[in-house]
Amino acid sequence: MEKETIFRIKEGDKEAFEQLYNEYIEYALRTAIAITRNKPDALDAVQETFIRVYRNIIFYDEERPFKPWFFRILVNECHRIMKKKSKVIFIDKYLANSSMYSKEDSYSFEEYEDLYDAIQGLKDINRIPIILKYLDGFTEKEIAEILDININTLKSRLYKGRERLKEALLNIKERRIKNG
Amino acid sequence: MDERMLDGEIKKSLLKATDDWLPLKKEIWNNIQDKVEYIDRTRAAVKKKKSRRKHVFSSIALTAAALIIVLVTSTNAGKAAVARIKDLLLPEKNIVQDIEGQKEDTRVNLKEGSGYVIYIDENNYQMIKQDGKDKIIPKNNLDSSFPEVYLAIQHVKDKTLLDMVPLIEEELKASFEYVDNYGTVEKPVKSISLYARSELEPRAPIVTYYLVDDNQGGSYVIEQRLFLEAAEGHGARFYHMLKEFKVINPQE
Repeated sequence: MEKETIFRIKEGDKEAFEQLYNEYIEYALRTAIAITRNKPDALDAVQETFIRVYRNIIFYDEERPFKPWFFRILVNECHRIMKKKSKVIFIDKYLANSSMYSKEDSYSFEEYEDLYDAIQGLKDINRIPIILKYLDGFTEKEIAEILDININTLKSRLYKGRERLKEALLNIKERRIKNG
Repeated sequence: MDERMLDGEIKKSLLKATDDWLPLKKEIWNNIQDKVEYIDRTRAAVKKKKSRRKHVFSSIALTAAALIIVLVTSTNAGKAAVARIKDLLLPEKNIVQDIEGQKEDTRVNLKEGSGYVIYIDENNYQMIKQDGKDKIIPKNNLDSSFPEVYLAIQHVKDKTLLDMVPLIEEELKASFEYVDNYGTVEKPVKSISLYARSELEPRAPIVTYYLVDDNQGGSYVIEQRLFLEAAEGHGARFYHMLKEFKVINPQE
């Protein structure tokens, strides 16, 4: 199905491109929002990704899976925009400003929001693999390909990220119990 | 904590936090459509131009095709094809270049590399072999306080354009503040082009890559390196040389 769509796009079929857009837009946007941490940058990254895909699809090798190729372009675009705007915030700086800590006593925050803050507080090398694994459901092999890193490096980054989140989630739960 | 529960919680938090994606869908599609139409119009114009050229040069193409068929049967088809195509082309010719706003009549000489030919301005440049690349460098070397100036051509036989683009993009991003992937360009040579620079200082290095398909599953990686002040001089001369870059494909 996907192969046929790609073939039609290569032939200049606009409907096929729209079909691909409809199929990929939701997870492209969700991923870009999570990576760039804001909607305007996510919009720019996703928009540029689809344009690049359209421009370069003639060079895409149909024997290879399309989804990792697409997400590799998307992640690179997110990186480019973040670098341009210098929005890379590392964990210590982020935690100091995050709602998870500044609103410790607020009961209005849902648990998932705290956990999301914790994900966003991870370093990019741990955060982005976590997003690709849990939001997009990529396998470890696919994530390693998308990020162009060794699979063992990726496993270690995922493990460390997950451990940090496990710790964060336990703290959130403990805090809630303590606060009643 | 139960591992599966943690996985579920992470997934749920990511999904909930990114739930407001839908309003952007229409906006992005509208923006993309304008760009896509522009890309299509450019492609159509190039096709039309090519087809006119094809008609004019049909007899030349027939001669070349006949030669290529003979060459495919030879043992070293690639090299032979380049040599024979080279024979069909003028060993030297005059071109008119626009250098810093002035028209300049320049004599250029035919050079061959691994599966390609190019005309270079031998009065001002020389072609050397370095690190597996063909490098076109200025004859009058600038002193070491200036950044490097060259046009390097490398044939990467086992990597497609698709393989090369992200590799080069990453490499550039590691060294430059501003990196742009122009996508497919038609001039000076049909390729995927990437551009990188840092600060806008007169002597700040500027790198432009042109990745050309070798039509055999590999790529030609052309790296143009100069600095801002030299863009209208060396930049213009490299541009005219690249217009004469031709891949010779024995399988065609």
